[in-house]
Amino acid sequence: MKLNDLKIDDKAVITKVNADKNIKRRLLDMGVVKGTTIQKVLVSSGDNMVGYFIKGAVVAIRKDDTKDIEAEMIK
Amino acid sequence: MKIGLIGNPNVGKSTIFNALTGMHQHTGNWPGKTVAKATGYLNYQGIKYEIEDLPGTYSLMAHSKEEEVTRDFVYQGNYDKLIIVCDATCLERNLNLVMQVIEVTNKVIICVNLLDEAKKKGIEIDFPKLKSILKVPVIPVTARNKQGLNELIEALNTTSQETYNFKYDDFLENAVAMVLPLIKNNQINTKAITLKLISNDKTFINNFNYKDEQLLNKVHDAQKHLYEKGIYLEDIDTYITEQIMDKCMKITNQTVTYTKTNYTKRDKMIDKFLTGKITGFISMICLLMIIFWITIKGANYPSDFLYNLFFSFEDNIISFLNFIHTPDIIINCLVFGVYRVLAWVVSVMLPPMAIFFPLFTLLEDLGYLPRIAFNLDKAFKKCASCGKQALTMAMGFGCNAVGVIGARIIDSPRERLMAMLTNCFVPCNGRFPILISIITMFIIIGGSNSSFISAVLLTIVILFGIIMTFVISKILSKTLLKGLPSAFTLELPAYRKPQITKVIIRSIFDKTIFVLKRAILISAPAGLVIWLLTNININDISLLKRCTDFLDPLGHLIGLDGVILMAFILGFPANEIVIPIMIMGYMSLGYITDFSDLSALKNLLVDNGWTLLTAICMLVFTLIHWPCLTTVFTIKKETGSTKWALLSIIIPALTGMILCFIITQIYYLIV
Repeated sequence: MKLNDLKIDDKAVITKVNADKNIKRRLLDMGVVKGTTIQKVLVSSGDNMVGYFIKGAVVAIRKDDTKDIEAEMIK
Repeated sequence: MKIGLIGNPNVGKSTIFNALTGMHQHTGNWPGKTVAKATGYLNYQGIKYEIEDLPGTYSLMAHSKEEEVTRDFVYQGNYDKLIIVCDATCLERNLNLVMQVIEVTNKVIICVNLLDEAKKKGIEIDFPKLKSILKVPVIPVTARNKQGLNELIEALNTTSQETYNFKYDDFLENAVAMVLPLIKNNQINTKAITLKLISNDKTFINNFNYKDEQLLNKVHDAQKHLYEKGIYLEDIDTYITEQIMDKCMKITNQTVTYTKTNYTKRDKMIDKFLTGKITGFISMICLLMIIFWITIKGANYPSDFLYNLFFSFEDNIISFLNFIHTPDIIINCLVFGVYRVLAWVVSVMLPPMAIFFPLFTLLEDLGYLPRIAFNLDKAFKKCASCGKQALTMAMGFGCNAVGVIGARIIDSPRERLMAMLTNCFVPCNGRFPILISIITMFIIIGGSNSSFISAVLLTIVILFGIIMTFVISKILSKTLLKGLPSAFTLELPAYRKPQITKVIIRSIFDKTIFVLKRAILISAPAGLVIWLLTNININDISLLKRCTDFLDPLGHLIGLDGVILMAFILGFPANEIVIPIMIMGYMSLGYITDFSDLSALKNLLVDNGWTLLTAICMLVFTLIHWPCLTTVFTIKKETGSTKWALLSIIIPALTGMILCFIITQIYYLIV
């Protein structure tokens, strides 16, 4: 499923990271790679930024930048 | 010994730096606080250490100028030891940088900081095991309590015998083997250099001047080898990082235990409130109001006290000067010109600054600022910018020049420029007292709730400034700074309880020194200049009067007058002298008489033609006019361009004048 389709507090494992070069670097820095566990925790007003809990920290990423990331939900 | 201090942003490098060197780098709980290198020294048990505090980075795959600084430092190898500072509460992500660095050199000490935070969250780390895996010393530390620092320094004198050997998968190892024999380096591991070349790190290749054709051909072959296995050139970085992160996960699983299952619950709940769709904005505005209210209310008593102190001292100074037979005209100039401006500036500027700054710093240390960026990102995105501009804006509240330097945290040059040009739309500490005085004098009728109402009105004025920031950003994005918004991620750090007493004392002390220094360097000479302008006559009219008469028509067009404009122009070096100059202009005596309360000042202004319109336009113009000299100079330095420095003067000046003009016209239509 698409990462953007997760609901708040859902946990998932990332399966595919498709993004353009610039965004990809920043996502790499934050630990958004294939195999990482990620949990959606916050959504900003206007549905613009989403806060994810990754590798021990909360990272905010723009929804537009994650539209091509795929993940598999964990129960 | 030469030591480099590196690590992820916001892990406490600067705190450790300050603790080791005794310097006072500015620290705060948000990523991006340190944007420049800093060097300090430490003497411990007879050995002298030179320590460099480097900008934070998440990995050695740099994608900004600051990250390049850190990467190049590591790869240059000119150090005795690197200290990699890690956050104990999110070790896994920090290990990414660690792994990349120990691949370059084994002259490394790993310093795991924020141990107190980890303990609170029930996170336990097996340090000996970590050390045995990574083959370098691992020192646990709580920098803000100064715990573990001695062990850290002692570890600097050890030598690591072994090196961690990271094995990648076969495709990558084969590619590396093709290039490795051609690389020679005595300081650092050649495999690390090989990986940089193969992954096509352009700035690395440029900065380290790898131009040899034979070498580049081999690199090309290696890249082709990977391409044949399905790994494209631009994906090699990702390919490498995936393997590193997999290893980080495995190491974390072996060394970190979580004894509390829901340790992030408290932070999550606070964040849901502070970043909620409606609650987020309400809490931002309320926080702003509360800070202003405390500042306004708290500043009254110290202001009065300082004022009286300075003026009672004045007679002593006059007696002394008479005693040493100083000519009257010099006494006139020194006391009534220089001393009084100095006294005015210190008693009016110091108390609000000494209160606002500690409050702001507490908020910073708490970790709240990135939440502001989170909430405002959508609005900034509409102006083709990013939420980090909110952070630079917040820094501009203290000092616009600091906000301009802080724009380095923005990667995209276009957006960085936008942040720099619009930074002066939020008032710096030097302008706050002007706004507070005008509001108190002209808008309030008085009464016991006046500080609260002042705070509300000040908040409205500031909000207006923030809205103008957005408006001008949007206009710039469509004209001079066209482009698309860049990619942007933001770390929301865990809330940390600030060391309240320490922050307050340090802040008050720093601000007091800062204000006094500026008062002596800028306000005193300004007082002299005004005195001269008022006392030098051409054809019986003072120079000052000539200037203000000349500016009067323009002034009235925008709801002000010549004296006010003159004050702003002469206030270019520092906004805090605007009101003293204005007062002296009106009195045309070249000095300030006693103004122990604002109602006397109000009478002076009203006598010189001030109306509600003047007050409103004064507020708007104070908010939006050319930046101060230091800010313009800083913009010139940061951009390397005179053109942008000039534009940074013209854009707010024009905006302010146009706004005041419009307000004036509307006022005359209604009234």
